[in-house]
Amino acid sequence: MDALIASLSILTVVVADYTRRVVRCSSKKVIASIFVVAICLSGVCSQEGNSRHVMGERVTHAALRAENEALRIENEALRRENQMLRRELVARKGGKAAASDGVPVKGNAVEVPVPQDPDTGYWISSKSHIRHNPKCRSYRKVRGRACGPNDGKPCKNCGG
Amino acid sequence: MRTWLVAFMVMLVACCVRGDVLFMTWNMKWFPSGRADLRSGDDEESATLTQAARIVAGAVADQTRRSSADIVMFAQEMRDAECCSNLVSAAGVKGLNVAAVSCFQDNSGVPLWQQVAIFTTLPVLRSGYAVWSNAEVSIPRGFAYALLDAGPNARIACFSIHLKSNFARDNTEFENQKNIHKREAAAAQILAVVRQLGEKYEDKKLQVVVGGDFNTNDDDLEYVSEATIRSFYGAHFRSCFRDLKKSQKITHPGTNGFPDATFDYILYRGFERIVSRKIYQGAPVSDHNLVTLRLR
Repeated sequence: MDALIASLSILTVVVADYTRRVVRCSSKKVIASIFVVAICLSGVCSQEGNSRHVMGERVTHAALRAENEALRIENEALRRENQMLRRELVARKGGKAAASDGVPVKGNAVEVPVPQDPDTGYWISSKSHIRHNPKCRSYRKVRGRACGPNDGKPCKNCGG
Repeated sequence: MRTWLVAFMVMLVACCVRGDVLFMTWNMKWFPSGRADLRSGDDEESATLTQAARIVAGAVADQTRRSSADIVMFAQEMRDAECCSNLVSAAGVKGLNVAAVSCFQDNSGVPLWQQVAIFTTLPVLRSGYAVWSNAEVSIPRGFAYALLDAGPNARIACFSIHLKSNFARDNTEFENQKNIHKREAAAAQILAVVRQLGEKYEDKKLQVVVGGDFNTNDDDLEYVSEATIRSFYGAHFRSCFRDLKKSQKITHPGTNGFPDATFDYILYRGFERIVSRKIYQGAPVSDHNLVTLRLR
């Protein structure tokens, strides 16, 4: 590329000198001709600038953009396919962990009554299902609910 | 006569030009105890409340220093409605009220301590919450919503969400894919509600904002196949972190070998432009940072 520009520049100078000496035209005309050649050269250069060598192959920006767009579309398609596969996988293998959350659903909104915890003197942890009594430091401190004297497993510290 | 005319014109312009709205989202990490499914001592919880209120009030003051703005805050991992009221009172932001608090329950009907909420200074037209409903999988929690009156002929539909985490019990690829599927299904449900709202408020200008902990992002290779956030982009939502570098949008600083991540987003639709955006450090209250976005 650089060799091409250099040779074209030399050619321009030679042509300009020849025109000035042989044709004996004015210096303004010579400058004008040089200007025209320069414009042509810049066009060649800008075209060259828009291209790039990728893995030894010359590609233009337009081609890269088209390739980028194609990859984007392909990526979207793959993402959709992934989504479908995930849905299928979960439906086939996992299924729903619980048939229902026990929460009434009305359209997109739900109305859930706030549960009241009566003071039964026993408290059962939601996660571990361990029962505590009011003497225990975990009583009403862990997330859970009021329960009966025989619900869950008794706490090892307080006896439940 | 001329003075009256000028005054009238100023009033007319003031009525027509709507102010900015400051949106904030913060996952407050099992607020106020900071511990999963466990209460702390009263003193400890009170201290956390004070610190959280200071962070919220500081962010509001910083963002509204130059000019006032209406405020909408999305909060996640709140224990209950009482904690939300306490936080709003302690923050002392003028006009800020609780618009919606969820009451998600576990399978045995006991309320979870990871509720989502919306606080705002705008008038609330409708609010509530819903659990994620999906026929294939059981998705934890749900979303809180509020339809806000943002001036003449304008409504802002707000959604506070906390999507499924990346926690996988046996750390298998199936569990990972299941988590992604749960988030995608939740996003699809929100977008369905947004579509319904769009049909209902067709004549009015409806702006939509979804804020919260998405537990995913559109940068990391880990989530390259995930469509959760991208589905919002497909529905013409824009991200509060648009055009920012990865290092400029860390909302969940890395800990225990996990790298820095962007999990907390505010996605919006129908606004003119971003006026400002900033991330405030959430420590020591939470492992997530507070994200603010001022929109016009």
